Amino acid sequence: MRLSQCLGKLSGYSGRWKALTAFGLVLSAGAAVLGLLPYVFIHGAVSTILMGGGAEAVRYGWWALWAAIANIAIYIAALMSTHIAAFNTARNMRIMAMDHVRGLPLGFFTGNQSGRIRKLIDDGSSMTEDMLAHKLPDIAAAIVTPVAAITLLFVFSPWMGLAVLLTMVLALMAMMSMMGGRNAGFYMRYQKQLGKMAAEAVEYVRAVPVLKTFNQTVWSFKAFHRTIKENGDAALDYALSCRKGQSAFLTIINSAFVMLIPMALILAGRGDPALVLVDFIFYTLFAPACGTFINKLMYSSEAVMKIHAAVEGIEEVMSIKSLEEGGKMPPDGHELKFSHVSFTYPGRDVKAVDDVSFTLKEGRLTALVGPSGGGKSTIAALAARFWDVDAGSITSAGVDLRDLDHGALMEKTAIVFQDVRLFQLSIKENVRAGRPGASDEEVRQALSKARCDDIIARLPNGVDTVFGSEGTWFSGGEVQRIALARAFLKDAPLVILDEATAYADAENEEKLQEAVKELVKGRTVLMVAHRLSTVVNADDIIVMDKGRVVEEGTFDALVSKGGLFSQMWSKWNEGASWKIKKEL
Amino acid sequence: MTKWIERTYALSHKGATGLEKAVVLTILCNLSLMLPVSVSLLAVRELLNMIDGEAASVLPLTGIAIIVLALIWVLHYMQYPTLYINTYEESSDRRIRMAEHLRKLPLSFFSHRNLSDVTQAIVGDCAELDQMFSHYIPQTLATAVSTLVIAVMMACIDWRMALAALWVVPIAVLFPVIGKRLQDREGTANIKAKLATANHIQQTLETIREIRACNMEDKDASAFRLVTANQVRHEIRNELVSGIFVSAGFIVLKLGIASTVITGTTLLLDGRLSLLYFIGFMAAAVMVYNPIDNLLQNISATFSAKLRIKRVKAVIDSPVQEGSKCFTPQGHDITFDHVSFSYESGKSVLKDLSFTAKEGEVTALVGPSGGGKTTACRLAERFWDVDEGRILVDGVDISTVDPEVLLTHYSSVFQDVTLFNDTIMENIRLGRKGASDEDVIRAARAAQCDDFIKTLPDGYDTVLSENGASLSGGERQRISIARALLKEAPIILLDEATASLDVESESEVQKAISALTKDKTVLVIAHRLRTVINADHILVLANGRIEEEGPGRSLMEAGGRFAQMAALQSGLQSWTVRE
Repeated sequence: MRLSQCLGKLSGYSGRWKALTAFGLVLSAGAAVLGLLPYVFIHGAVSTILMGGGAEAVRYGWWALWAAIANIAIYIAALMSTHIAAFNTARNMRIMAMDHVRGLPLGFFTGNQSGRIRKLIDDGSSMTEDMLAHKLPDIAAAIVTPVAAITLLFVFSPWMGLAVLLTMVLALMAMMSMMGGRNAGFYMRYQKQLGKMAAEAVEYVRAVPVLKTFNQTVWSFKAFHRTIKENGDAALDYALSCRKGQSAFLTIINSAFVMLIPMALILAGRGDPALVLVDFIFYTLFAPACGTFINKLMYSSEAVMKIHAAVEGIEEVMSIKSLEEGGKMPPDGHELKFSHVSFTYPGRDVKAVDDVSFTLKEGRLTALVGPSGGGKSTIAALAARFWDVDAGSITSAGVDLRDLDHGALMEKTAIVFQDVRLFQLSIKENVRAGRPGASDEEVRQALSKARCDDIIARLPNGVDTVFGSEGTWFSGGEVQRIALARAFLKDAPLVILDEATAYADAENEEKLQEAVKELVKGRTVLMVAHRLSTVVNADDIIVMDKGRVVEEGTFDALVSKGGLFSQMWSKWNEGASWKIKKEL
Repeated sequence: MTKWIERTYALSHKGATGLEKAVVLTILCNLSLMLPVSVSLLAVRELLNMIDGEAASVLPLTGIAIIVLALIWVLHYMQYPTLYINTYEESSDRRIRMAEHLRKLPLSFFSHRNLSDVTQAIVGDCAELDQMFSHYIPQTLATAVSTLVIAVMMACIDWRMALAALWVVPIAVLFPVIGKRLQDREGTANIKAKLATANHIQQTLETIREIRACNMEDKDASAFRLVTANQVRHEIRNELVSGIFVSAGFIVLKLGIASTVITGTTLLLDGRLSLLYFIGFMAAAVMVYNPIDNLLQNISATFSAKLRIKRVKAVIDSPVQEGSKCFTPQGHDITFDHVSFSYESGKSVLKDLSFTAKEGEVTALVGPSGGGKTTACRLAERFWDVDEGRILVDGVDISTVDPEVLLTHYSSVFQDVTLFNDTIMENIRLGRKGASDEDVIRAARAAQCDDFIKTLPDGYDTVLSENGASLSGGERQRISIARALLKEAPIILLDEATASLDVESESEVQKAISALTKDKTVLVIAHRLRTVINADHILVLANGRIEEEGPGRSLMEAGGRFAQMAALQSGLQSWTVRE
């Protein structure tokens, strides 16, 4: 992607702030021209002094000052405009990216670390700020300055002007020599490496207890150690490859005097030495000022690489296709039918669900059981259309889920995950998310039904306590009870429930079980069960193994059948009486 | 001097001497850039002479100019690597030093700060520091010195003109310093607003399922718009504040050119200053402001360098746990002797806890969550140090033993297993450095891992990604047991090692654990009481104290908390979702 393409993409995010950026660029160019005026006035001051006019020279001094201050003031105005536009562009990028992300299939989130996506969106947007706020106005100034300088070149001495121009051209060439070749993609590689290092550092810090236990050092954390070394080496390698170019560049932008001195002396020998002296002083002072602009241009090459990496990151997020909205309103019934459904997680080879067909009949409780990794939880996620099936179809009362309006589908479905997450909101608002219009009283009743009274009682601010705030801690079972309250409040006819497996203590477990028992009363339920006793009285049991349905039926029928389920059942009973102690 | 640099900038000795070298060369570079002004002045003198009718000599001055240019190039060429070589070597070293230091810190260090904060110090702050050490810091230090040198030289020539040209410098530099407090405040508020946005993004990504399930997309989107609008507001304010002080500095610098012209003209007209010196001072004034211009531009970055160095130092200067390297216990009884402990002052987790876990026995810790079971287990490993009392292994207080030496005697299996981004073979070999492949495979077999490892694409050479995300909970658990088996340590700690497993995995894992615990000192935490009912010794921990203790059978008969818990659980075990 070229810079112009990057900027094109960016302007798609800027919206109406584009105009402000343009305004800032015009101001910046204007300020740059004004910035040349003081030199013109100094030229005037010196020539009047040489002609013997003293008071006049002082006036030129003041004008030079006013021009300088006007230059700064306009430059500040320019930077403020570009900054405001840049900040708002970055904001738009964040908003648009997040709007997009909310509609993505959930497969996207399991395959990616949330930290990495956050970095792409948040840091990526920030990385565009430098370009839009600082570097574009600098580039605008750097384009206008030589034009103005060439004009001045004809106003005063063409020869000496040419000398200054020549040094600037040489400096630019030195600068270009550093940017091509294998240095071209350096910044992108460097950023990627930093991202990798961040992910590895997180793993490392998480692993500190294990490192302690097994007496490991950072050197045994090979990938992390290697990335640190590689990052340092790559940066050094890059820096050193610029040694010749950079020192040549710095020398050349300060080299105008080498040409100006002989030129002035030769010109003075042929013409009026006094006039030559005035021009010589002007160009001697003017040359370093031109150098400053080129210098700024130099730093903008880094910004170009940055913006490149940023735009590419955001585009990576934006280019992922979101789930398509069907738009149909769901019909009345809520029988859920899986027909020959297959599904593979993105990036995996093995099908998580392989040609599965079954019907979740209205008003019945259907339990999914089977070894871990057998595809039970995937079925639950597909039923909620968190992913789209690869083959086959899932229909709700005869209509394909993909043809339905997603919002309306969620309206009639209550989902309780095994690893529920709560929002960083008050407990009350967390529950109210189930039905936004519900009154405080209804929220309280739902919490009671979900057996949450003891949790609320111990919280400092009761239902108004913000989840995750200082001094509050919830066990996994407690979080799930609050999620159950949400489901009670929602009062949806279809319930998808993924049973929890780990509990902090028995009291918690007991309350949760009571709440679940109450929730499933009179509803159509799809339940992922991890303990077999749970499903003894389920209406239908579906046994899954390796992504396929291997058995189906009632509890009694399955036990007497002598298949996988009956094996699991006897193992379960055996496990229930296991003890941690060497055999006696 | 070197020591001072080491301390102030958190550098190694090598880094500090490198920085000194960089500063010296930068000073020379700064001074060398004043030389063209001097040569140009010689040319001006020549031109003035020509006005008076003398003949010009072009060659000598041209020669001098070329020599000066060569000198500038040589100095910059020499300076360049001193900025970078040192910086990036130091950068890798600093990161490794921080990582090494981190793993030696007591876990209490991590409980006070979050994960992203610590990793940010290693990755982000260090990257920023690279920029500091290659640019801002040598430049700032060198500019201070070179400006002073030039000022003295100018004052020697004509103190009035020197004053007229240089009075602005201290004032210009003072502006940002004055504004620092206001800038700090706005800067902090700005960072906070930025973090709020990052946090919102993270939360949305983590709760995306819930957002979808509750149809909260629009609500989340409008909340995000508010958060980002607030961020923009703070960014603009922050930019304004820092912009104002820096721009004030720029404007004051420009005043200097005017005062030089005005003072110079006045003196010149009075005949107290020669035209040559007048021109010289004007050229020198323009040149001397250049590095200060740069300094003003970078001053806020230089301020934030301090902040970042502080964050790095917060890690590097945290005290590590120390102790004797010499620890060779004969027996391995673990004794808690009146131990009290709290994570935060005032909220004690363990209160005057005393018990002994005997070698060759299984000691089980049970009780309600928050009762202090896991804390006791972690204290036994010296992951934290106790507040009161002592923990003894074979009669030696473990707080006097170096943690690395102490932990060679322990094997632990935790509920949450950490796997490394390496092959399965290496992940298990972690248990004992230098163990042969055969030893590893034997341990894996004993831990019931062999079967599932063989089904993986590359068997033992399968590389695990992202903390072994592709493995099930039971499989991960068994790998960590294999590790513990390989280590063959005399003390075994098991914290809820089977809690998150399903039935099939659980019975496999239980077999593995039975193999692991033979004839060792075993301290086990379990929520499911049936798994520990036959332990030699059961301690019921509640509210940081021992409520009951004894063998399981007598506790059942006693009818206390243990018996109640057991009764409750056996009921739960057979619950069904519909009656």
